[in-house]
Amino acid sequence: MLSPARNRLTIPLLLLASTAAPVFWALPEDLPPLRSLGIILGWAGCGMLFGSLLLMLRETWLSHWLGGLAAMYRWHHRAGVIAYVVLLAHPLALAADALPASPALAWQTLSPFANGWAVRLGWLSLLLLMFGLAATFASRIPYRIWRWLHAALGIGVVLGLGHLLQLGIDEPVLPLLALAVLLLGWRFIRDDAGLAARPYIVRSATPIADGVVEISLRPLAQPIAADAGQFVVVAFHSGAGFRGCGQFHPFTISSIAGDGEIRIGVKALGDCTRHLQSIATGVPARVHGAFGHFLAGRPTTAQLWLAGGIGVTPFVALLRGGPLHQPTTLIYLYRSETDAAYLHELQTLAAADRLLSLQAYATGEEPPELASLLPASHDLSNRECHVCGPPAMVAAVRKALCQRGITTRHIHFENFDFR
Amino acid sequence: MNRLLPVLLLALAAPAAAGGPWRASETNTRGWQLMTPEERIEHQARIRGFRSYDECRSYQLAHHRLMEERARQRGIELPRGRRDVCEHLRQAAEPAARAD
Ligand SMILES: Cc1cc2nc3c(=O)[nH]c(=O)nc-3n(C[C@H](O)[C@H](O)[C@H](O)COP(=O)(O)OP(=O)(O)OC[C@H]3O[C@@H](n4cnc5c(N)ncnc54)[C@H](O)[C@@H]3O)c2cc1C
Repeated sequence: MLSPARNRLTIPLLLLASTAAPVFWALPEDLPPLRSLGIILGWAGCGMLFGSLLLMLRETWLSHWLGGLAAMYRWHHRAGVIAYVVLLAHPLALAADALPASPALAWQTLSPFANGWAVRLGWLSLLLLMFGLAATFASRIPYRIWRWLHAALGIGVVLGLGHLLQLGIDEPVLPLLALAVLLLGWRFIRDDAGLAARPYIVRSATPIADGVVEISLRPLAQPIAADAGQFVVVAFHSGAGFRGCGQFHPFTISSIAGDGEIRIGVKALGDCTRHLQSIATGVPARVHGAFGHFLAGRPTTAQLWLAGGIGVTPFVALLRGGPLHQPTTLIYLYRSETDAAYLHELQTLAAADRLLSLQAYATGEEPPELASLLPASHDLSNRECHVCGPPAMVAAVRKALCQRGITTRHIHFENFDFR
Repeated sequence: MNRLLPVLLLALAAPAAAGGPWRASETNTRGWQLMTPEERIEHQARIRGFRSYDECRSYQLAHHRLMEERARQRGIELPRGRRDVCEHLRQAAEPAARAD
């Protein structure tokens, strides 16, 4: 595993390089300051967008190099937002350059109606980027609609390069266009269409709590390489009387058998996962991964694990793998006993392993009172803390742990929320 | 990652040495102040697209005539450009500079 500092710096450095390179190449000379600024902003936004495109690729080797898929997606999102803001400032700076001559000239510089296709394509590209980004922030939109709106960003990038071609800059832009098509095509063919995923078949599906089903997947070819607690992205297709939604969603492996069979616990959180509750044996699936290193490389010091709802799966996976080697407290928070997946199994495991202490709490509909649930500061010193669950719960627990004097270095977390 | 980052940095920094695209401005385009923003963009794109000096030069002469006409209609004196925009296409055999 990479050191945490190196992990954190890799992606920002990569984005810095992808932004700086085109800016250096296109650095203006002998131009008025605002026109120079406008040009610099345009190339910086373009470079940042390319960095963002690279970060959307879902490849195990790339995620390993770049510190995990969650970090890649986080920065893919940030880079897209920064690029959009920078690219929006690009025409504004060019118009500001013309403002001292006359406001009419400044407006003419901006207006898509007073200009040819070079400027029109620029605006179209910005509009599509805006739509795509607005969709990114609208987390309530169902995933099947969301992903098509998000794809508008890809078209926006291609139109932006069309804007550059219309400006007569074909030398570096044609290779850039080829690169953009390659990255977008790669993402579409390998990830969205599932070429990078391996074929599996549903061997069994067992309801384990209200709105939670545990699905066993048997490999039909070479199984994926995975460790307990990692996650995979899985798409369920149609077959055996079941109409699959065909989209890839991330799920944590809750156990791995010697023959490569994996199990995942699926909670009904949206359209596709609700539909999956009625999945049948024999349904074909494609599995891509494994990703993440949430519970990898744990030191032998005492552990505190905190799970919210279905966020318990990485811990279940680890406990199913064999007895613990370090004293561990698992605090498991759920709304009610009926929707507490794996609760009885965890109680049995805790009874058999003297190093495991299980504290399970039904917290109801309100956010839990963390102050009374978490151990006191003196019980937390020298503990490694691992938190997994919905983002709001993870954020609240991290804050509470920091208030109890735990440094961020000792808090590891996984959010069950990226798209 | 140890190997990836330097390779990526090199790949991305490589074009930095190549120099940016040619740009039209007040200093290399006669009549710049008499052109609309759309004309400026088109002029820049056309010059970027020329592959031979003769093509570029005949466009340049037509452009000069148009600008001189505009200047006459407005009763202003047209400042001479300080650089020849087609110069980069001229072969080394004919080195004389001609202002645009
Ligand atoms: C690393 C990781 C591990 C996960 N492990 C599990 C697991 O073991 N078991 C489990 O039940 N769930 C897990 N999830 C969450 C699961 O991926 C989502 O519940 C599922 O994708 C929802 O799809 P949907 O179309 O049914 O929901 P939608 O109708 O699209 O949305 C419902 C909710 O699910 C979230 N969501 C939608 N799509 C995704 C997506 N592709 N990725 C993440 N969140 C999404 C939305 O933000 C929203 O809050 C995990 C998520 C991540 C990021």
